Amino acid sequence: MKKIIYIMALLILSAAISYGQSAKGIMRRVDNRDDGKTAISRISLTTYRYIKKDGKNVPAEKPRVKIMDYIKKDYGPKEKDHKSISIILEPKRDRGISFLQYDYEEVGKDTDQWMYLTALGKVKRLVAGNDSEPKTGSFFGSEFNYEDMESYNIDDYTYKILGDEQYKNNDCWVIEATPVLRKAIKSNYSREMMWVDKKRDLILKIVLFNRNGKKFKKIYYSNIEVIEGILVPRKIVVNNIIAKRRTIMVYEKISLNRPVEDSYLTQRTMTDKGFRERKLKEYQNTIM
Amino acid sequence: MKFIKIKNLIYVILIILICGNAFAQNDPENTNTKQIRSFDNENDEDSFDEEEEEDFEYDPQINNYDKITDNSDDQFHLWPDSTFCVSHKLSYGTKEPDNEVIDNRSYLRGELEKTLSDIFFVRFDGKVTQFFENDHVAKADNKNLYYKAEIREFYLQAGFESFKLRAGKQIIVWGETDGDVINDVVSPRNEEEFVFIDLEDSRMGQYITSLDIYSDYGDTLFFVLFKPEVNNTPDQGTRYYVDYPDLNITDESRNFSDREAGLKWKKTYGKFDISLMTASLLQNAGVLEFQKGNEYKNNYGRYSFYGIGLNYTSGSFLYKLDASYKKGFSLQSVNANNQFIGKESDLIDTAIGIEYDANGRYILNFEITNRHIFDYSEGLYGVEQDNTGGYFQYLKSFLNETLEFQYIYFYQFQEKNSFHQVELVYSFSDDLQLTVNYTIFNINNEDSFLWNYRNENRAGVEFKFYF
Repeated sequence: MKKIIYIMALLILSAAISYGQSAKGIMRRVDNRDDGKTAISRISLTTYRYIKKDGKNVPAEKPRVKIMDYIKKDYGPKEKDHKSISIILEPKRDRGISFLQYDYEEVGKDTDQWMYLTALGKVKRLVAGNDSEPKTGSFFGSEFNYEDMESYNIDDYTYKILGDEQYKNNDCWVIEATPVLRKAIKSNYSREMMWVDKKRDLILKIVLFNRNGKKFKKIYYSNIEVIEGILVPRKIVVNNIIAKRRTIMVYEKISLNRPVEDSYLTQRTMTDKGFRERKLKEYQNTIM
Repeated sequence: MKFIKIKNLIYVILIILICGNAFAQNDPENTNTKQIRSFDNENDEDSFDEEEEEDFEYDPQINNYDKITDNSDDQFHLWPDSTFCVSHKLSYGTKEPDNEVIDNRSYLRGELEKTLSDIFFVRFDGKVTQFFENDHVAKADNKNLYYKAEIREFYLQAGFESFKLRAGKQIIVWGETDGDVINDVVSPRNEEEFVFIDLEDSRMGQYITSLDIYSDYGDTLFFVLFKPEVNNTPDQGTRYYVDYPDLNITDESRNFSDREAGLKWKKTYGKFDISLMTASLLQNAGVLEFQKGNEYKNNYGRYSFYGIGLNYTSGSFLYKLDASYKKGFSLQSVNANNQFIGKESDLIDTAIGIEYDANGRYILNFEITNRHIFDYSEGLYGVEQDNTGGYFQYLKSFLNETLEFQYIYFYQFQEKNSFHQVELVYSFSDDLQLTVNYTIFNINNEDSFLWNYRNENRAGVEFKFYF
């Protein structure tokens, strides 16, 4: 009898510890997971509209493919500020167009953005947008919008553990994130459900609900590989359930924690291709 | 024995109480937890989300992990960094009496870039245009087919850690605003087709040696060029050629002593970008100067240029300013004998612009430009002491940026001239693009340079294929 009481007590204890984890605590661990101080990557974005045919979702049009080089570096004491540059390689029509972006963790501090248009031949500053309504418009014509690509601020949401379930053979927390008022007024989403891998503190799937509360998009993170000691989901799929459009983002090539100089994340890199190529090669050849 | 049992019971109660506390302290938001589940079934209604992702037939292949500069899997290309574009353009004048085909032409454009070593980089950008029989350029030469080749850029660059040196045919673009030429004075313009010309073709390259220095104090550009080019005006006999039938006009010859030199410094301070510019330049547009009898010379006078460019962003707005002081700038004038002469003046060109981005839904751009002539006299031809223009632009993307709409309106306040242009650009695929546009002119002032366009309402269509 004494044994049974002990076992019961231990079971209750383990369940309590397990569920006793704070949803925000889990998300903080996810947010603090090392993703590399720097990233040098080549990304492909494949987007198409789909239709249902013989029970399968098939493309209704020729998929549009964008390939770009993306270089990012973290800044600040908590490495929550980011500078990044994206340079389009494909399609040929857009080759050489580039975006420079500085993101800040500080609440209310606008992102700084510049664009280099080859046809215009000059660097143009872009408007950050206002914080009183959601940002629309897609990221390079994909199903990612600019909000999806912004830095994630953990304090912008309240969290609740809905439960846990197996997702693709991974034991996951299912966590609901609801934007706080300051985020809710400028977000395209009224809430999010996230499947967080318990072992790896890694998001494997997100379901996003639009402002009317309807399921809007699903984002899947897969092909998770350990690259230079860091877990990287090399494939991210967005399925816009309402528009029936799908974007597959793939890290074709990636290097992490290479010593990217501050001078690389400046307007020079947008306009000086010789400098851009030379530095990329130099960073890649540096052994950390 | 009894004491031990009671002790065990107390332990259990304590453990439960501690666990309860853990719930309360660590997860105040957690009010709806569910028990451990063991399902991930597509049709299981109890699941948090029905899984659909496996239903997709199309998925791009993921290659093995590569380092970013490892191009071993790249396909072979004759010139890997190249972009070619084949285009065909048709346009039709819609206003009587000039309603006819205006443009019927094709071009092949090639942009080639190559990194030659850790230091050297070369770029070429050129195009060959074929004008068909009913195109106004071919008609002017009475030819069935007429070819024209142009090199826009062709330069060699040597790049180092904090500076780069570039020599060859290149384009230098200055200024923040788009509506009028305030600070963008270095590279000459192609004026053969006025507003109907593609943005890429609107500036022309010239042989320049430039040095860019990059430092924490800002980016600085020095340039020098010999034998500068001037604006490309319409050829004789073409639709937009400005004809003076009674005058015998020759172009002022330029040689290597006619050098231009300039300096630009640019720096970003938070939400501000600021640039300061100065240059000694020859004018890109000519001014007629009476010689003798009916002989005139098209002169391109030297002037000094001092400019400032600013932009500042806040929320949804981008504020832009371009201002320049042009000293000794030659303006077209008429003397007492009614002959064209040049008159050197000092002037200030200013453009103030506001751009509004409705969080990705659309963009509005509004600019006011003004030219103030300090020593204005009645003899100046076609201008007033203050010449003000308004420029409005509306941009909107549809269908995930595959369809883009643009509307432009330009108005000259003193002359009361204006034009409207609407344009739709649709991308059928990543390679194939269709542009459709329509332009309407409303020209009232006979002395204005726009007078020649009073009947030029036209519809245009252009296909572009990139490879």
